[in-house]
Amino acid sequence: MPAPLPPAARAREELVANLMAIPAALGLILAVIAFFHRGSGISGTPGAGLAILGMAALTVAALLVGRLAPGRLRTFVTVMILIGGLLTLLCAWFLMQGWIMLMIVLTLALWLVFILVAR
Amino acid sequence: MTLFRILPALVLCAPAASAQQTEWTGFHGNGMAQKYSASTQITPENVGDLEKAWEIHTGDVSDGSGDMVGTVWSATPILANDLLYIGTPFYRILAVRPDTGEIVWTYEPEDTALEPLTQPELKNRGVTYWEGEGDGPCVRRVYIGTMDAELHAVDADTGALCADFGEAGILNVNQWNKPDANFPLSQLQPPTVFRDKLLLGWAGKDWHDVENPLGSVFAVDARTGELEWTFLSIPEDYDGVTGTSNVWTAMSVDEENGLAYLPVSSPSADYYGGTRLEEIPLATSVTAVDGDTGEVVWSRQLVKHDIWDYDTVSAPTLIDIPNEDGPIPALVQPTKMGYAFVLNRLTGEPVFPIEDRPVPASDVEGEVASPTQPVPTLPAPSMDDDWGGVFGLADLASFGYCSRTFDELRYEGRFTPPSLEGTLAYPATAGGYQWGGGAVDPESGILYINSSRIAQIYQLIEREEYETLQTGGSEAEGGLFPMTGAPYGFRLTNFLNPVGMPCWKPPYGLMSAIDLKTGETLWERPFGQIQKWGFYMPESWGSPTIGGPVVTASGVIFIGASMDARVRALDATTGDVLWKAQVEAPAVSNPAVYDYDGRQYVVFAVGGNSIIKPQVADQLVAYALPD
Repeated sequence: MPAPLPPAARAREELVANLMAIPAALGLILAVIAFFHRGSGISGTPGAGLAILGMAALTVAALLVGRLAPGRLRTFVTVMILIGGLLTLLCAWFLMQGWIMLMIVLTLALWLVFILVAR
Repeated sequence: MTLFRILPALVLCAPAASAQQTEWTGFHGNGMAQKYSASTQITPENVGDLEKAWEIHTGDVSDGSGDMVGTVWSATPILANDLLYIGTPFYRILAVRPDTGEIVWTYEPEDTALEPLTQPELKNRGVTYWEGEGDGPCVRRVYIGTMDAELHAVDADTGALCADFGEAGILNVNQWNKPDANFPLSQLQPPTVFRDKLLLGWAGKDWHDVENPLGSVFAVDARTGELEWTFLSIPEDYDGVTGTSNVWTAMSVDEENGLAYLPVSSPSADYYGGTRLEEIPLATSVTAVDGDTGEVVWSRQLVKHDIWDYDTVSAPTLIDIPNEDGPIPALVQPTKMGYAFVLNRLTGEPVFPIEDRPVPASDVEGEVASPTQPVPTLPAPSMDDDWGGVFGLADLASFGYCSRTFDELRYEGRFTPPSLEGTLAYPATAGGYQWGGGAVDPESGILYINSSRIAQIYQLIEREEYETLQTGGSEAEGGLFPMTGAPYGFRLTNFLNPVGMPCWKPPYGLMSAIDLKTGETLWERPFGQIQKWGFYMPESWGSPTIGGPVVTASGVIFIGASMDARVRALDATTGDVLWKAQVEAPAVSNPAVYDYDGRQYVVFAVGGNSIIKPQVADQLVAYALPD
């Protein structure tokens, strides 16, 4: 059982995780727009649906991970963010959605920061 | 027509009359089907700066999910009379301002059936513009055809029906159909203008029956609709035996020499010729007729005893090929086989030699395939003679499905006849080249043309067995062709694995430049991108295409056509993509290029076609350089 984190460290972790959720949420919005906008090139397609799913999962996971105490569950969610992010990045690459890709890269960059600040 | 609707047209005429413009007066830009614009404002250097100048949505679109069938919109906008005219799949005509897209008038037909009478979907390829002499109403006219065989003529200034044409402005083309015909002579392709005549081909349900209306082209007076001559592609004593060999695509005209060129399609049944073994010399041909009389001047059959549905697919492009000994009056006839036949357009003699090559025999009872087929030695075909073998990735993804299927098919190269076990057809009826045709720069003598590489499976099915397959499905749409009257039905399928990947190797679509002076292919590049479930495949795979290019004097090629719903500008020298924009569906139409008030525009009708992708739209969009 790891020792409880000091409040300052915990706040820092939560802040980084929340920051991570911002590009993920923006990516989610972009994916939703791409799904519904007729001129996106991918409107109404399963690929766009998959991008929405991926970005939604990233957003939820980013919000969740900062609120979890250190332990197996947080490790699992942290790893899943990386895997989900990379897979969604691949999905966005094949969908040729540059802005979504940028949001995912930002999310993963903040994920790296989270790893560095988290114990 | 209310004064409210007429006024904007009158107001428009005042400033526009002085405008310096390059017009785009026909489906292929001009009657010679060159798709060439003399405009030079947009260049390879600045084309990257293109921006959307205006767009409109016509509202005439259906994805087929409701009561109405889907729409296929392949219209080319026409710039004439200081207005841009466009027809829609609901047979409406819009006249819009060329510089703003503002709608000046709309023609809405009454009592026209929006039903798929001869085609699986509602189709339209636009309108025709004709201008007579003198003043007064209907001196300038716009025509639109309908699937139920009507041709409507309206005043180009106001959109009002021209009462002196046909009956109160509507010509019933079906009056010249055989009395017991199994389908109307659908007017999907706008008429071709030859002087003061309109040349009318037609489309039909040619895939359904053996016996159909005999192929014909009608020349009618542009003012009255009165019939002036009729061309028949099949001898009249063949009535009741076969039919079609019609002209469903655009034609081209050489007004100076008084000739019209007819791309004649294949006879019915499309895939079995055992019921029509006697020669039909004008079938699947390019035929030159006297534009004033309809008399055949010369004809060249491009496929003998066609049993592959290799319809002559586009208007031949006419060009005087630059030559040391003086220009050669030529035409280029692209075909579904990926051949471009280059002929002297006055005599029909080949500019580059054509060889008669032996081809495989049919093994189907009752069928006698031609032992040879004509093959042009130059230019090189857009598809190799051999299909190239199974695509390893598609085979791997389907655990060997492609290889197993191919092992069961008959394949002996080009012109392998349809068979009972199934024949791999490469090229197949999907082409090769298609109805968009090529664009040519008359100064340089270079042809720019897009093509597809598609492998399909042709399977004849014994009548008894075929009847058990009839589950009330959508026939041609579902790949089943009844060919009623023949001992066989037919199934046509694309050679895809179960997840939808092509079983043949990429590229699937190309853009090429061909020097018509030498027949040499200058460059050939994969064009467009395939999409599956929204995912884009590599650019090196290219995309099947529908719709053609245009080329400008400044060396820019504009084209939509690809599956990825993008419109592009290419460098005519290299084929490099210089600019692209996303649109709402595949732009399966020929674009129009024109100058208006000192600004050059390129306009695309974006309508989609379910053959290429299940995505439709009603977007008309114009691009120009920033003001």
